[in-house]
Amino acid sequence: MSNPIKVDIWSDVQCPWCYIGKRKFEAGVAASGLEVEVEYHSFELAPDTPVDYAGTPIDYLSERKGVPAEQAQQMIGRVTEIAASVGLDYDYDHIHQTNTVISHELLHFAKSKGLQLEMKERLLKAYFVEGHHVGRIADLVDLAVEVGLDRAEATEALESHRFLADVKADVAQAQAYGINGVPFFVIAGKYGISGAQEADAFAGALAQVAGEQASA
Amino acid sequence: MTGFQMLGSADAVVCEGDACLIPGASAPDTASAQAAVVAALDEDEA
Repeated sequence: MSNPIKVDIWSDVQCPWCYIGKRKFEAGVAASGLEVEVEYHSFELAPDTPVDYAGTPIDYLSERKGVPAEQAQQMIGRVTEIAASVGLDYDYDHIHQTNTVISHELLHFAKSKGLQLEMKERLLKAYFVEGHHVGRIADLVDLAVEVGLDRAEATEALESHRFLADVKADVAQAQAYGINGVPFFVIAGKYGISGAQEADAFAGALAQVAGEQASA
Repeated sequence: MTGFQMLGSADAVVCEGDACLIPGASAPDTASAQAAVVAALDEDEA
């Protein structure tokens, strides 16, 4: 039995293509028939976003990027269709735009408890599908409990910010690697795959690595 | 430019900066993604 292939993934909780890419990556892994070990790393797309941004996603795009509301609505419709094609029911009418740094702290806490993958999926679903707020400690702790984390421990971890340094280290490592966009997948510490690629791209890359490991 | 050997399509959708909080990029190009992977695999075999 060969060892699992390590896959490091840089991603943000409010990155629509990261959730779509996650589904395509999972499909690629399934198609490959190979065993992988996944570790998520933090990437902040908008670290200056306030925790309680009051507007809608369309407001955000219009105010900060100068995109006409009608065009913003078309963009949302497009990504919602693509999300649906991989089984994700994005609900942009109820998304709470926020700062994600503390949700990344929660992901690091969850990793320390062996529950990072469960926490990542829960956070993405909460944000894109269920309209939960993922920038406030109370809301995040509720989600943490759902995946099996202890409420008191999760609260302490977030209130103390003792995982903030880990979040910033991930961000710094991405910069050092030259990673400018997410999702970004690093396979076996050697190959990079950028973006929400199709499942075949992931399956092909994993097969390549498996072949190299078998012949090494 | 990353420190990794890149596989897959160079045209796949990524989020760069807060503009991506509202997705505006085009859809991934399935055909070119597959072609790029095949090309990368062929290069390694050559």
